[in-house]
Amino acid sequence: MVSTELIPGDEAERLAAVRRYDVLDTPPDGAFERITRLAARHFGVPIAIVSIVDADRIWFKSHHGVEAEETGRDPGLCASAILGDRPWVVENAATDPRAMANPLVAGELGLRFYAGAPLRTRDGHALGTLCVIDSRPRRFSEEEAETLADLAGVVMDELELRLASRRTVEQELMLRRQAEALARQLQASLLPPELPAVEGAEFAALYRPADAGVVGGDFYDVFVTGDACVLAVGDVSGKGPSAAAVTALARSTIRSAALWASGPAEILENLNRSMLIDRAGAAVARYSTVLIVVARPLADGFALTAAGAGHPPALLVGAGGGVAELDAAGPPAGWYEEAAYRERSARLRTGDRLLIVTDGVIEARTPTGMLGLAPLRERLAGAGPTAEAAIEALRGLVEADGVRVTDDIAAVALRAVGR
Amino acid sequence: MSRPAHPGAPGFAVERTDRGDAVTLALVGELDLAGVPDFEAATDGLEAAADVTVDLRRLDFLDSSGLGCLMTLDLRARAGGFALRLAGPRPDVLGLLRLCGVHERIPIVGGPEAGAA
Repeated sequence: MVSTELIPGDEAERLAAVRRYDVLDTPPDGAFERITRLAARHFGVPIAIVSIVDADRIWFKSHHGVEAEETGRDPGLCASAILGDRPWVVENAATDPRAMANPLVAGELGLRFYAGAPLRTRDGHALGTLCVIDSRPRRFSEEEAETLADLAGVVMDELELRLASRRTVEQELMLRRQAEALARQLQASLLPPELPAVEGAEFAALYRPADAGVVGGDFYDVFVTGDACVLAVGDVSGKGPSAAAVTALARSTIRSAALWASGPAEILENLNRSMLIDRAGAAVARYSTVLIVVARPLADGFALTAAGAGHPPALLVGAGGGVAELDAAGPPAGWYEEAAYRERSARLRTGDRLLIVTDGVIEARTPTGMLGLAPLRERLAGAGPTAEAAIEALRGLVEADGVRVTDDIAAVALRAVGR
Repeated sequence: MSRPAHPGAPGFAVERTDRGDAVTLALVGELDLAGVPDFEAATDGLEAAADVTVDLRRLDFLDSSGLGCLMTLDLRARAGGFALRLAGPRPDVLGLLRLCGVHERIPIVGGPEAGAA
């Protein structure tokens, strides 16, 4: 037990402050080493210590000239020094009744001189001391006491700075987590909650943000209208909430145009007009790349009609592993009035798969340039037969060593499974 | 008159050369989101020109943000009355331009080995 006369009146709050500054048992540190070295040299003493007074021990943040890393609180030198506001000085411990019985004085160390200035927080709690120690008695002038108190102030400034920067980091982390949660919610509202159940079809999808804290412009959608199934994958330029608003517009425009349009080209023409109208009042011009594929059921698979607006070609993976591109080049939506879109057709037979990806994949960088579609085609040729396997082949590629993805990635896969 | 490259984004620079009412913007390196401000700064006041050539021979990489720059420039060309063309894109860049139908909208002249016209 620590003798009660060594316990300050604010002990509970003081110990809370010691915890708050989170300095106990931290590794040695250049800033404090410099201060103790400077103190020892300035006062011409062999030992200088930055001590933190814990509940039942005195721990040394920096100890110049002594091996020990901590001592008991009971001997009561630093423990006494934290009781007052001014440096606590013992000029000759052999004759000073406050220190004569101290084991450091009686023992091997043969301490004779001690001067310790409290490390006091802005709200008045003493965490520990900056102290200087000698094995010979010596005088300590008022001016020297002043210097020691100033140096203790430098130690305290350093501790305050660390506390402030740790708080800033914690705050940043918290804000970052909030932003990520918000981005996730917003993004979730831009993607279908679940992929539809369609006879003869198996779907899989991927959304992979480049930055978890920022809502991206990539989207995918799969929905059923009449007897057809519509797959749309797109990328609105830019990021953040204003891009997300355009993404929401694009997705709802595609869904509503699909109800009456004759095919994907007309859906895109409608989207183009909607985006141009929307752009008129916008601060930042947004455009979108989109690929739309309408799949109508056949006896042995699906008849596909595709139209694209500045989007990479879709990939058709044959049941036998052959990969072909379903090219559907056209101007991005939201660029200019007269934009016209072409339709391309293809058959998806039972066992065949269709994969639509955003340009985040082909624009990913490798040590030799842009990734392009060739590596994805290779992986798809060797992947398992399911829609999910096609998505996993894509995921494996963009997470491979040496591939640096800087944009969001969205993808949808459809496999004809027969009926 | 030739202005020095804008030093804002690492890995990207625009070199603008004004000769009378003909302006050449040579894009160098990788044009992505980080390079957009430099591109925009270099296109300041282009409406005073009659002919604008964007020299793509030394452009290694173009992403959707970079493409947006060219699309915006196209809209300005049509609104401001200057002629715009793209010169000498490398195969990767040309592929992206074709994919987005840029070649149907902005004339593209020459391959990577051609002059900037």
